[in-house]
Amino acid sequence: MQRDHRTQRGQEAEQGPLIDEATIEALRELGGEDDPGLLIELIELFVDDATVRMDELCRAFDAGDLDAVRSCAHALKSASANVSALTLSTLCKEIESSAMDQATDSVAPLVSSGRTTFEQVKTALIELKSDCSG
Amino acid sequence: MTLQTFEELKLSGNLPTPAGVGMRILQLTRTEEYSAEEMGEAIMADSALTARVLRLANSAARTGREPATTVEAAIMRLGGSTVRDMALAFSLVSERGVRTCSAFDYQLYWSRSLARAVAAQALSQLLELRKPEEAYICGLLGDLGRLALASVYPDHYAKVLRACGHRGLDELLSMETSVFHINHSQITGSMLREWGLPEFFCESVEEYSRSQELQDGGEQITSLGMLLRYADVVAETCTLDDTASDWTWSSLGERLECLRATCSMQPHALQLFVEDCASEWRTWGESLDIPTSDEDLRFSTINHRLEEATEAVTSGRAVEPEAADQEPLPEEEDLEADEDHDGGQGGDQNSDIDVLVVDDDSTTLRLLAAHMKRNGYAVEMARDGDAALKAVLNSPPDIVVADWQMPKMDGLELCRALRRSRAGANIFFLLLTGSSEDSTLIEAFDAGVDDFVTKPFSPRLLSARIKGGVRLAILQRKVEADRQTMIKQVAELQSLTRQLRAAALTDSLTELPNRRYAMRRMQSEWSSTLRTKRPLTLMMLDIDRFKLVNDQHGHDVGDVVLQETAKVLQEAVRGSDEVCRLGGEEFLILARNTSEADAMVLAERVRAIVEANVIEGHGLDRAVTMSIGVAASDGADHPAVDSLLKLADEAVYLAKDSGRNRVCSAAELRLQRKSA
Repeated sequence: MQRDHRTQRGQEAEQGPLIDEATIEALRELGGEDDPGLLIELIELFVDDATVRMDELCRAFDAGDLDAVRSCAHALKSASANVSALTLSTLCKEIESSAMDQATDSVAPLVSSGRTTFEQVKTALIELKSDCSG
Repeated sequence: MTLQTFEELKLSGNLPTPAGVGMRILQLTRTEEYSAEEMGEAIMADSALTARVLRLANSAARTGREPATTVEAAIMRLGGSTVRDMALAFSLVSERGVRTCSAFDYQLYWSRSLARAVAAQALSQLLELRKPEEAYICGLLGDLGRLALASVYPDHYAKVLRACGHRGLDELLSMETSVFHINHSQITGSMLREWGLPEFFCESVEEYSRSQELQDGGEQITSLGMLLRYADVVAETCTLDDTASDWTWSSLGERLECLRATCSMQPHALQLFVEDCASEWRTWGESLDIPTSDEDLRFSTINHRLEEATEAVTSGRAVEPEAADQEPLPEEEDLEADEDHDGGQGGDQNSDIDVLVVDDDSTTLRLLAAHMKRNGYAVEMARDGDAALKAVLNSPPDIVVADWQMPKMDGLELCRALRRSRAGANIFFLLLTGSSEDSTLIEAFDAGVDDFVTKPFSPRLLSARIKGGVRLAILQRKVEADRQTMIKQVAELQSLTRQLRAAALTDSLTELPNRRYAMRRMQSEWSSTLRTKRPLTLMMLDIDRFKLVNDQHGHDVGDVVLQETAKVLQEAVRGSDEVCRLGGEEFLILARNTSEADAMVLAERVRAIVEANVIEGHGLDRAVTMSIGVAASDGADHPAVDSLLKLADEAVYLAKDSGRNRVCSAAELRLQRKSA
């Protein structure tokens, strides 16, 4: 199976993998024969939900509402961990704690980095999904 | 078998029960040591109930009587037990709990029951059969078993009702028996018995509900059970939908004709009768908050529908109804009171274990559900605390896995809410938390959480913790099963005690209350007299020359005389009076709230009725007479009721000495003593 996200992983090497292959494999196995659509369904759920959340997070940040930023980051943190997007999860965790400290200056670069990483994760997942169904 | 099955129904805790005041009355009258006054007070605590009792007490208007305006007056007129039964029946109507059986029309149930009650009351007056109030109560409660099945087994009963369709009562009863081992007719009787309503009521409702068959026209109605079947014909006329099938309408037409013939009414009179019942039904419906029809029933419109249907059936256009659909009857193996999963035996199979997962994040929710399924558990999902709470109350799972942070109601609030509810108190609660700091965890455990897993969760750790929960859930089920067995044993014991107590207080020959009962009631009525200063009358009665009857005709004829006299005495007294057999040929009448002057009138009436009653057959063919001694007091002149009883006893001797077959009062006794 083709894994296009390998190159992206290289770019983000210092922050760990964009998507963790072992976890993806575990999810595929969890679905097994009884629930073969599980992985695809999880990816779809994540992409839909997380897109809304990330938009919300950015809007909240632009409006200076750090409480809302923190809450969105918290939700994104565990959701992205579910689909093995560990880099994104770590970033969200950092956003969450900076927002909690009301440290606007340190939140800003994290949010921009989070947004980029999310787009990469999204692309990778969608590719992975089409690999699965293809 | 039936009794045991009923006990099982009872244990479900979902049987309809009288509410509030009804429960208080039930408890009060479980023992014999209550006074009419106490019961009156209990009823009056509820003004709506008071109004309804008075309405019923006055609605069977007895000619030349002032309407009763207080519960006390109603008790005087109708007797404590009738008023008690009315209050119980009404309090049951106001208890309309959760409606969960999808195929059971709860509104129609009460609407038809009310129409039946009103019609039974009217028929009872028309035919002069039993007391109208009794007919009303039995009519109202006559199909209670249906409501009970819908409450205890909402899902299973819905299937039975759908499978039965319009195939009629016989079919329904037999389907009920095959699925539940008991039918609604038996349940109705058992429930009324359980609440201590008169055995006569229980038998009547059983007779009514076990068949729809009516008598051949022209034959008189002699039992209340049969009367209720006819009343139900009127009730069906009131409630039948215009869109019902031709077959249903035509069969109603036949039954109405049967009612007309049995009561020897002209067609016009029948129509008036039904219209009157329907208008009474609407008025009662407003008072009890039971939906009836929007406008008065006009028989002319019904007549049209009846004729149309009859024509359709006779011409063969209408088809006989079959089962609405061929839904299979529920299997008896999976018969457990619906919605009640905690009573079953614990199994080792994981599929027996229900897990509810709660998370607002859809990926996590889906992932959790997949893990639980993988471990073989049955999984339900909820998106937030609110939905989870509803799901638990609807069908309690064994284990709840919930995220802490959720909008609206978070995991901890959910846990606290569950711990406060009966259904959720013992469920194993596993919390998903982002933090494992001491203070956070302590807060969680304080809220009643059993265990926690930190997020992002490790599937293996989650499985291990859930296994711990399963072990506890199985233990929990065993404890619950033991508890149910214990409750069951206690219930059986209570029922036995009640029967024994009743037996210990009844005279087996005459079935009147015995001396022990009389002495207890006398004491409790006396306490009421001391409180209220209302006079209590004790009336001692002795059959004249009873020894002669025994000597000349033998003891078995003597027994017949005692039984006959008991019967006559009961019919001669007022509803609020109580007749007891003290022993031998000696009887006592307790007349509450009755002065000596009033009591003398009553005593004289009793004496005359006994004298007029010829006991036929048994070689006797004559009436017996009684000597009666009357003593009344408002408590001022007697320190204890025993001295009043002694006075009544002495008055009987005076009556005997003055030539028998007469009434003497304590006042005459004093007069006689002065002159002596």
